[in-house]
Amino acid sequence: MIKTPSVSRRLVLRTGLAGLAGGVGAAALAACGETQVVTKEVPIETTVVKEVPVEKIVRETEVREVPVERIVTQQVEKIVTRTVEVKQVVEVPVEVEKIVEVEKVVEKVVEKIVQAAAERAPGIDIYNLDESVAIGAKPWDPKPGGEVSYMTFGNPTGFDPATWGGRSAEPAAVMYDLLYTYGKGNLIYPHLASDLPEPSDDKLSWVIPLRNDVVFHDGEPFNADAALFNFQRFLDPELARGHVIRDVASMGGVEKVDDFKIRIHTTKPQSPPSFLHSVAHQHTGMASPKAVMERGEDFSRDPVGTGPFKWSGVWEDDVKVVFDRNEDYNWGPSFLAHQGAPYPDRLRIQILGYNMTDNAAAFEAGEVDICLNWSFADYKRVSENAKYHVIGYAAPGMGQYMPLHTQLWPLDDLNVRKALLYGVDRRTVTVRANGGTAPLNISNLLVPGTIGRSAEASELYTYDVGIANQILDDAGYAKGDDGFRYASDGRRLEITYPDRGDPVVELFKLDVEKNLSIFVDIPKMDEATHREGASKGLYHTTWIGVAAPSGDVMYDRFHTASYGGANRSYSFFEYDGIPESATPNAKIDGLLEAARASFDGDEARALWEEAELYLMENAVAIPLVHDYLPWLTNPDRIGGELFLGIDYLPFFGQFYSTQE
Amino acid sequence: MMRAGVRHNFLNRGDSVAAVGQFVGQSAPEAPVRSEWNLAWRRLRRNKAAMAGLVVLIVISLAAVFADFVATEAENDFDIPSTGLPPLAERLDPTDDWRPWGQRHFLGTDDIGRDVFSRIVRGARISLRIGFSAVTISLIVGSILGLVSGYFRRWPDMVISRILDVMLAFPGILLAMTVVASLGPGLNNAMLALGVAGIPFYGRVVRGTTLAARDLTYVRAARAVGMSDVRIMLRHILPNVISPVLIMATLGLGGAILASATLSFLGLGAESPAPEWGYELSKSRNLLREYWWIATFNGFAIAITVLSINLLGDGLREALDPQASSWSD
Repeated sequence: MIKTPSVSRRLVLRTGLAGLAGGVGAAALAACGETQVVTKEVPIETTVVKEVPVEKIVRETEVREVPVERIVTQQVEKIVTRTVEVKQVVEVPVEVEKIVEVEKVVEKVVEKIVQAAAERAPGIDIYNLDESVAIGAKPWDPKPGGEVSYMTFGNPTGFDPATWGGRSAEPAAVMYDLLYTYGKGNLIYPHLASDLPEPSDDKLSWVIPLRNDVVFHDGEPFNADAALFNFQRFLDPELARGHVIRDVASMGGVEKVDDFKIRIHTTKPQSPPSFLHSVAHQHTGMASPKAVMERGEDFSRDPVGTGPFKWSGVWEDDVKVVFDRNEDYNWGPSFLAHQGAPYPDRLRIQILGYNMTDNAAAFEAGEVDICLNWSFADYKRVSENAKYHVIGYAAPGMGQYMPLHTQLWPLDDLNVRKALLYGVDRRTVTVRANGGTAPLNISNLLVPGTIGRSAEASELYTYDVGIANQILDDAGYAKGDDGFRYASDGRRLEITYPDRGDPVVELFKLDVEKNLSIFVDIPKMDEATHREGASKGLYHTTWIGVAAPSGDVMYDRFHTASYGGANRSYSFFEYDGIPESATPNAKIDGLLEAARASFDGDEARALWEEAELYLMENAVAIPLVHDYLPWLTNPDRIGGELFLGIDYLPFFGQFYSTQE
Repeated sequence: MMRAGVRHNFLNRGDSVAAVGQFVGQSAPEAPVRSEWNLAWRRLRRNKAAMAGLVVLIVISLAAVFADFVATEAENDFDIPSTGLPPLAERLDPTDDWRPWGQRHFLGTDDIGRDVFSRIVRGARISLRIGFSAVTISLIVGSILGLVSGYFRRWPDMVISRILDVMLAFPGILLAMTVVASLGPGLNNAMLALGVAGIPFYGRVVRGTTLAARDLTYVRAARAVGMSDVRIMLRHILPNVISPVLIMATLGLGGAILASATLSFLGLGAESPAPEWGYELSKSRNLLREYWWIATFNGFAIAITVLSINLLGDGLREALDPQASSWSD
């Protein structure tokens, strides 16, 4: 288990509090003469020999209400020293009133410290992703009719599962169902499939039985032909682009077995969890073949699926997408509380931007009933309003991290990457993102709770600016006249981290320039420019959060099969990851493939641990913090259960309107 | 335009000081001989608003020049524990700073604990530099184009005037945004963009004044005695141009500072972590509910600077061109 600094700090804090309270209490009691601790020499009536600097203590021990553990620690240390002074004062004759006053002051200080500690994690209930949470902590009391609204970031790029890229995930999850889905306990449940798949003996093909009671929104039946049609589209290199190609990367072909059974072939042997992940991830939604054939290109803006809500035809670009209730729906996955058709008549997906303050304002104005908002200042404010209920979700996976482009100078030098892993102050660079509340992840690619997290990897790095600078000094990067480090060939060490308005970029620059003397260039750019440059491998790093149940998430990020293709813009950072060569890295590919193919849970776990250790030894990313995302909910407008899957997508059928 | 030219030439060396004196109500024979600038300064000094503007501008300029002395902290000296301290809050880390304002965060701290006062003071440097540079670029290029086109007329006038017309057809800020978009965001590019966007205004005014001045008797005389064109332009025409251009430049300075703040606000000017006022305003507007002082004081800095420049500019116009202001009354 990693020694998290938060634990030790908390200990310090507690010890400090205890010491403080104890010290003062003892002092006060002693002076009051109410316990036997009092020695007879204390003459209570005697006049003050030494004035107690009460006012001064108040000022100096007043706690700034800053929600960062480190500060609290510092404050506590200060107060502890003050307490010692109080004790000294007690040893000389002192008026009782004065002591009582001091006691009161200290009580106040203690209160403030507790308050500050509470403010670190403002009133947010934190849940793991595999649990459902009652919105507003209210009992299930569904009301039919009305409208509920959810949100998505950025205008969808279209609703054809085979072609969507960008951010269509939320609205698309409303429309489409998958064959399998992640559910309670982060397990995989059949959805449009009727049972778990049967692998062949060589583990190279999987027979999936399908439900026979599912119909598309246009009345067409869902059967093997429909599933076959969809998978053939996903596997068509001419057609498929966007996110889906990553999910089907391991598939070689698909065929029909009978009317309600299909067989999927994989190019390499796979274990059930890893095969199921590819069909339970968010992108392989089942679309109506008839509608796809008839509508052609227009299908993307006029889609037909099997989901709990169906297309209403209302899509105002950059404003909203509206869906109608699918009255026939009764094939939701078994673990959900509410089966059958959803309660609300309409579901509105409000299209928001990445400015979290604007989004919070939209939420507070009632434009959207549930809203993901990762700006600390905003979710803190909302959480303090009794009208709202903030639900925090902690996810397993890779947490928030900064991938490093290991092929691009100067990050092609392992020493520079290692220096970054040692020298980046995670608490500081993420303080704008989470107010310093999220637990740090210093040395692991995977966060605790993820299957395959390596205990050995957690020993690799600590936060130590001294070591970081020592590594850079030893590697020959000396400081120049301008205070930045230069390579021996005269080039200044520079890292390019495009500024797309994320909360980390400016702090990363300030921190790295101050502590490591490496220049950080943060050119401002829009999403499209960034994607284009990123696909060419022009930038060194960015800020990413990835949720996943197991170490298999590394396959998506670091296996050779995951680079290239239409989605390269996101995966170039993970490109190769290993400095020896730009060619596929046999070791990491081998480990990740073997883990996928393993039918033995312990073996897979060991392989993932080895892969993680290997990747971290090569310093392919700067881990930052555990991923912890707050959802703002408005119980006056929406009720039911918020149940997020592994991709942070809710099950939309579990909402109902609470508006009168 | 003719009128404008004539209107300004009373300040010229060719005119009688007495006439000017009479105009401002002084008795000509008794008054000691004063230069036009001297008189203008006397008029300016009587304008309280303009003097207030001048004083404030001087204070801001001095603060900008001596920013390292005035500011209590380095502009990017962040300190997470000091996050979000309100104005006048005491520093968490007591220093032995001898300055009376050194012990406190005079204007509070921002969301990563940087001293707002120190950043605003340093921001003055950036804003004034952008303003002055942009105005200088427009002024020099615009004046040269205007002089050439007004003096030579014919085809140079044709070409230059049409170019200026085209530039004038775009709203200034839009033109600047186009320039920045093609050059990429950044302070220097913003400076250049604003400079370019201002060129046609100076060009037009200088051209008009030049057109009027070139037909004045003493200019004709100069030409008749065989002075070179360059010499005539610099010695006899340029002085006519100075006062309207000076007024324009002063008022333009405020405009340029405002426009640079606008560009930065839109993300086309300064880049983080520069303490540029407009950029700070843009970033801290998200924090307005938590830390109102960041956006407020940065906005106040822009407002007070531009206001003082505008007051001074108005005063200068009245001082240098009393006739114009009496007409406008």
